[in-house]
Amino acid sequence: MKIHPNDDVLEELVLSLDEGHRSLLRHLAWCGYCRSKLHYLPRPLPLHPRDAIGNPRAGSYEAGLAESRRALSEWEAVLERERDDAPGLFVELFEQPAEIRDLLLRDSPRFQTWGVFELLVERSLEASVQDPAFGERLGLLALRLSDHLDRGRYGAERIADLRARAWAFVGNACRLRFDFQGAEEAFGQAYQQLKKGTRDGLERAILLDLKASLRRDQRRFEEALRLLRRAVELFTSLGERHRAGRSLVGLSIVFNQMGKALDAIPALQRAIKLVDPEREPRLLLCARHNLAAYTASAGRFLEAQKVYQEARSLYRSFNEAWIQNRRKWLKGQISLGLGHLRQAESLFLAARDGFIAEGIPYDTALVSLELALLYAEQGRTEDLKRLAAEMVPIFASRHIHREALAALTFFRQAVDAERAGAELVAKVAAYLRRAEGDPGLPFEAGNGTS
Amino acid sequence: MERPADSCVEILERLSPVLPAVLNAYRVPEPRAREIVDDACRTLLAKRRLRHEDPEGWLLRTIIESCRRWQKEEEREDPPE
Repeated sequence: MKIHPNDDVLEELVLSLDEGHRSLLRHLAWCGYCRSKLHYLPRPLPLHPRDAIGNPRAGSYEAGLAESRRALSEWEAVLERERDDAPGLFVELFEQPAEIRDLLLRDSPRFQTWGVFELLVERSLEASVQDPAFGERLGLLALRLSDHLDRGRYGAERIADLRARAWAFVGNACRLRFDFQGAEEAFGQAYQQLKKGTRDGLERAILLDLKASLRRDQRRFEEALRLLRRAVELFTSLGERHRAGRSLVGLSIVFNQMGKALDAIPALQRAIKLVDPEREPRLLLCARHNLAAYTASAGRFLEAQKVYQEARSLYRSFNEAWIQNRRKWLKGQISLGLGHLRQAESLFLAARDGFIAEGIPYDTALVSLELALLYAEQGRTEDLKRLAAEMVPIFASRHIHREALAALTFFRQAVDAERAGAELVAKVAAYLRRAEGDPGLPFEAGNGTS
Repeated sequence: MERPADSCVEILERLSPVLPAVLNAYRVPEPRAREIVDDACRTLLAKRRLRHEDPEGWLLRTIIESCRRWQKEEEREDPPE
């Protein structure tokens, strides 16, 4: 079958099955292991000319498999030792100045191991979250090391796979420091390496997922969605439920940035069922938080409150200010939607103070405008003026782009002139939300919108 | 707490009842079969830190894909009459 069966065909198939076979079908839907067996089942095969001169029979493989297990056990022990030694070698490497580091990787066989290569690649991704420039350096260092790895020992195709991942992580680091051209080139290199590799679908899916983040940041949303859908499909087919869940969270973020929060909701609901809470609890919190936020933004406040309540224990496990401030902000939005104005106000104020303390001007501005809307709707002009005056530190920030500053200045002047009604505040707030992921979005002061 | 991952040998052990049938289905000669299994296992070992959720499924799929590629190459060189 070359096309996906439509709903009627699938429904007809399911209805034609008895309960036992339906249960089997459900099992196949989630079990990659059993699905992969369908490649060779059922077994009857056409007669091949080779049969005439003796076809190997199943029994003859047993000895070879036993030998494979023995060799594998030895190689597993070798790699384990390399992995155990790698963190120490990593520290030793970074105690040296950069030029000595390169020499060590080039000339010292102690460092030319799979364990060190793999560790450098992993740390490249991890480091990029806090310090993308350092993450990029680690990725490039891993790539330089890979030039000196023994192809015979580790396998040229396996090295190419890990080189592909290293290039993808370099691309991701470039994206995080807004070097989109560098990111494009790195992802191009990653694809080249993937072609030389083992053709592992998992490596491809990891690459697609990371490249989608680049497309999202470039605001090439349709391409980002296509890449993420393919990644979800690949991860799912490989039984990688957690990674599929992660890509679905990415998909929901793209939908939200496109202004399609309603499309983001089903993706998140699916993601929550797939994400492994033990493996990445922060990702699960992110999915639940975003689900509550998108549901609230769709005006479904009772539903949003339920999702929020389900996430409470997760919020408690992350006591960081960054997360708690967002929690208060979200809870404020839900409270406002449910008509609990006083509670909403105190939560917005707490979130705003938290963002100021953390030095996050954009979120300070966003939550301040939600508070301003609440004041404007209640005709609290003096509170509006006080709030606008307290927004001064935002204007001093270098982390707010020019158009957003123009919008905030427009808001402040309107407040000072007592012209800031609810409609105007809502328009400035809506502009700021849209411009968060699109700094080039122009603000037109004439009507307060873009 | 994170559960310790099974060793590759254990994973291969669990697939052992299935593998002869797979290899036989593609009529892979014994020495080539050994190469295919070894190669797939070494790739799995090299990627253990990716923490496959279904390492048996991954290994079986990889072996099957290699068998299919081998069969295609064979047929190109020696097409069935």
